[in-house]
Amino acid sequence: MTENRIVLLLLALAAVLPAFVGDQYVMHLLIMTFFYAMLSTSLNLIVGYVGELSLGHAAFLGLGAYTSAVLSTEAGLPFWLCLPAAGIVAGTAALAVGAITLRLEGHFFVLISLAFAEVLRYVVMNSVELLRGPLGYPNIPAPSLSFGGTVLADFASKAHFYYLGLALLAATLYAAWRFARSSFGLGALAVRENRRLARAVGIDPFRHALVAFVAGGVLAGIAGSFYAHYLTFVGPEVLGFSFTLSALMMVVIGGRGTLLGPLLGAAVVGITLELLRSVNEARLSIFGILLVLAVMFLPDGLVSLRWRRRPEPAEESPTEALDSPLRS
Amino acid sequence: MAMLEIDGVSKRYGGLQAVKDVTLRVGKGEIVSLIGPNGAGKTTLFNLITGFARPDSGRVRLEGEDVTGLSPEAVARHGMVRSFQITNVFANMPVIENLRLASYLRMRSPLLSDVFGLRSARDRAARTMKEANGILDLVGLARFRDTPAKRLAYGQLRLLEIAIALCVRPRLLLLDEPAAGLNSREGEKLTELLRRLRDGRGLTVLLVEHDMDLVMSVSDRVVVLNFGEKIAEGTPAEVKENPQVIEAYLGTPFEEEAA
Amino acid sequence: MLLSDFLQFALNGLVTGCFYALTALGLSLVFGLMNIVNFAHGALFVLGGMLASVATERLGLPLWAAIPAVLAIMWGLGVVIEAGLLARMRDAHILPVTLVTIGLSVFLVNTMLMLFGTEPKNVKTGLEGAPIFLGDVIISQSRILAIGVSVVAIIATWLLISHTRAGRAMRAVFQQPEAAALAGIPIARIHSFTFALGTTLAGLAGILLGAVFVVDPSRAEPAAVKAFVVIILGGIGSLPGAVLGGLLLGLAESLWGGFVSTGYMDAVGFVLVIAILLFRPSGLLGAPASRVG
Repeated sequence: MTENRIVLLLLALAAVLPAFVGDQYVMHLLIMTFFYAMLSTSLNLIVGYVGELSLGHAAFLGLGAYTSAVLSTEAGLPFWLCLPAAGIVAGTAALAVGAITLRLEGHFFVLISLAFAEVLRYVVMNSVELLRGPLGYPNIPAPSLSFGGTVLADFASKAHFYYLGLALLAATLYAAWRFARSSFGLGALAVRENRRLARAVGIDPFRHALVAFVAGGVLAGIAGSFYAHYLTFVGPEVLGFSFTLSALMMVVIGGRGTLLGPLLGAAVVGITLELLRSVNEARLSIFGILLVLAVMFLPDGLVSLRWRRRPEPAEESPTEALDSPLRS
Repeated sequence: MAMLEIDGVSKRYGGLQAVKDVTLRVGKGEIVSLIGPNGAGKTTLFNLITGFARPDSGRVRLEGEDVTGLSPEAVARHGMVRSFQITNVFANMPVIENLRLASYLRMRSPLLSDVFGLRSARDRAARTMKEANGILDLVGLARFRDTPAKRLAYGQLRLLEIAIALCVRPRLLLLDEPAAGLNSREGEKLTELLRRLRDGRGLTVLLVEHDMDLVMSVSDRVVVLNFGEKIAEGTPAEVKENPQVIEAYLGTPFEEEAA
Repeated sequence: MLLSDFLQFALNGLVTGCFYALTALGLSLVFGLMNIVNFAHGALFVLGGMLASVATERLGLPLWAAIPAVLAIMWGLGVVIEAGLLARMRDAHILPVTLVTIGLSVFLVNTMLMLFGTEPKNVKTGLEGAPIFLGDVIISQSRILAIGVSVVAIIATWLLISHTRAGRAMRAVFQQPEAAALAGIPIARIHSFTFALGTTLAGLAGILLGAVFVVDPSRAEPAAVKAFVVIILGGIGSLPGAVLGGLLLGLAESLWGGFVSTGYMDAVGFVLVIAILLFRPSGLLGAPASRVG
């Protein structure tokens, strides 16, 4: 079974799941899993496909969430306008930040990307008058879907959010899949695999990284918008490092540079944290150990268990390529 | 007009004058070899021409167009493509995938038409694939189409590098020691390949090489560098007799050092 | 603005700067030599303070005995972490290596929370005497101790690197890894030594922090991030830069907090870093940050 089919199958399973699961808490966990899957898919574009470690991803999530929060509570705009606006704002910020930082060498990029996100968090936290500082925005309205005066969905129940999240996740995955298969994705892959050679054959690493960075920013912003309207509250913590960290873990544990990886990662990390609830105090300690073990022993993530490259054939070197064809 | 004109190019690294006022010309359809003892500045000169390093002074022109100081990717887009002294391929990928990545420039279509999978983009991809297969046939790696590059033997890797460079459709091909590590028979095959590229495809080649058999048999002209300076230039036969060149190779008989 | 205010803020900044300089020095060694973005550095810093607190408060050891004991433990821990985790990933991509250090940090911080609780801990110095007045400027005895120990540690590190065989080997690996390997320098041992040294310096900074203020696990992540800020400011690969950058950041934060606004105090470093990377990417004393090839 190909990777794409597995992704489709998982999405199809998720679509019929509410028929069998009534528990509100389980539904909530699944909705959050969709959210994290979106977030880690967006991060995967830059971390997985281009190979740049961005530690400031929460900034784009947070910008999306705040855009939605401000537009819906202050300006009264409906969710369906807030959502694209969140993507646009986050994408524009990604363009500006990426244009400055992606020219820096890898290790510098890691730190500077974090610095930008942290500065943004401090600014939001301290601008009490403009962005309500640490108070944040409560009472963000739920979306509503109506057609010609008839309300089709009012999002009063979790099931509505469930399908909204699933739809957005599917759209995010589709966008990521399209990106990876485009020649842009191919160029990004070349940069990740061998930067010098990529440049020698004419591929501009900066441009490719920037496109991936902006695409990731837009998708993260959209995820942020969903987050804001689902949880109805947004505060400075959406800009915090812990969101970046969670998404990063999911990408790596699932398998970076793959479509399925972030999806698996979001599910597995979510489930693990839930299971560890029983050992409450030691939960995060154990989680830290699991993260270390996962990265050390499964560096290519869970997907590599299934798509592990075929076993290396014995060292019989293919002989004498130089022999045949030049003979003509 | 010459394919490549290098005009008084210099580069200094700290106290070391790596390349000093080098001027040379490569005509269209020529194979020119750059030789000289280790540390003579050959690879540095390559880096200066291809944008991997920026010259302190001097100009580089490709068919009259100034490409001095451009980024490596911009230089490649102008049609000047290089290989590296140390084998450099997309090691984790199959041979054909290496070529697909290298063909990227021609495959690229406007971002959106591509992302939405329009037909024009797909047609282009199919054409690229066909050409990549043709190049594999030409260099003799067709059999290893799906072999991961890291599993190729050394000589085959060097051929793959040339194939990668060819996929960019260069006007000028720069090869940095393509014969290093090849046995003598593989070296002969390489000579033959270079001739075919020149005669069949009208390709211009500038190469840095230590293998004197290869240099002497394939080159139209030879340029000799020593301590970053050009000390001689001419046909292989002329250069061989040049006393300065013999001197540069430590006074030892030329052939001996070269072997 | 009064001169005495200025001097008082500057002095406070100098104390904080000493903590920054010590942590950054250790991190810079690890970052520059082993190419590792070590997010666990902040957790190790806190751990040093926690252990010293246990030694002085619970076990009742005097400070002069507690410091070497804690440093020895930190050194050992550094060796173990290097051998158990980092040595196995020497050629790995920056991403998995960074994640391993993040995982380690998550583990250390939460284990400390489990063992010691969230309450801030103090390191008992035995220096409860009256603060000292220098004109209008006040300084407590523990702060003088912190500055003194920091200076000694920085000089000791400098002597170690410039005057011992291990130090020379470290510098060789730092500057020319390939050549050093060819010259027969035991890279594995140098890495172990370097990481242990970095861990120990972080631990020492944590001890001093606990002696002057308090330590608690929530300080781990900000401390790691600050230390990175410092080494970018000072210039990556430059050890004097790490010390200078630490002192400058301490001063800048203290003066900013004193005269402008305390709200943005922690953002000062980030803004400086962004400015530095935009206008002088090599940092104050370092090599260029943009890519060459």
